Amino acid sequence: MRTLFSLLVSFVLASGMVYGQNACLQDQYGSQYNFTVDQTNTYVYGSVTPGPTQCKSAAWDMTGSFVTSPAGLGLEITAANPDPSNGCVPIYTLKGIMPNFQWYYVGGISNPPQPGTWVACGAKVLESGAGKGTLKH
Amino acid sequence: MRTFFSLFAGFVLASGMVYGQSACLQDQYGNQYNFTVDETNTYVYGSVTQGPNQCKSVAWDMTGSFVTSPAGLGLEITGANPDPSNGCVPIFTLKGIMPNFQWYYVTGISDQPGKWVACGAKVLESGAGKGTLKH
Repeated sequence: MRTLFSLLVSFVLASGMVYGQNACLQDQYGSQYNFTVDQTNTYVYGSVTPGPTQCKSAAWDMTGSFVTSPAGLGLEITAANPDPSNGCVPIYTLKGIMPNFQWYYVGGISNPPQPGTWVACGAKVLESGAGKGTLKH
Repeated sequence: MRTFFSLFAGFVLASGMVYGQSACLQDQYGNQYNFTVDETNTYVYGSVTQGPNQCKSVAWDMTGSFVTSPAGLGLEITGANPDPSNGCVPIFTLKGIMPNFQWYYVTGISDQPGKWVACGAKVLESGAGKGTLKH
């Protein structure tokens, strides 16, 4: 049976972005999630560089987890705004069964929904992030 | 078979702190997590009020998830510092099988095992240099 970590690594390998236990994934607005995978604790941690049309700020800190479920490999990442006075959201969570995810905020799941698909860092940005993602209110 | 939410609500009820789909749990340093439970999306969201020996700041926003596993009901909560210039940690995560959890930071796991209790319970551990103050 494949381990949680091997499943995660396999996905990230398929995206061409695994370096040992480090990975880089990109959301639909071009924000890039560079993180370390703690296999023992099914924990991920690192930083988020906002995409070109996202929050104008320094990198955000991020933490998260992965877990297997009957539906597949679940990945959840939460990021914290390094300077909430910039008017961007203070915190958000991306959660779903890989490679898919949904955006969540402190008010609950995004309304309207913002379904996304994880891609390798550096892939073409398919959606404008204007008023969405880290800029949503 | 009990649902995710009924398991979760059962624990919180046992702690005497469930109000519909809202709950309040407290960590070992007295930080209080007031949150709403979104059963459909197995998601929780709300705010964190700092304990007496924790970060001196306004409430922190929090998000999280719960999931069943062979070991029990897993709960993960992440809090974000509303003003990182205050020198407290920018973000932290509490994760474990209820009622237990561990503290995690942007550098990985910390050795601060805790147990969830009902809000208002006696604070059993000093948070000096720990929890939201740890570096």
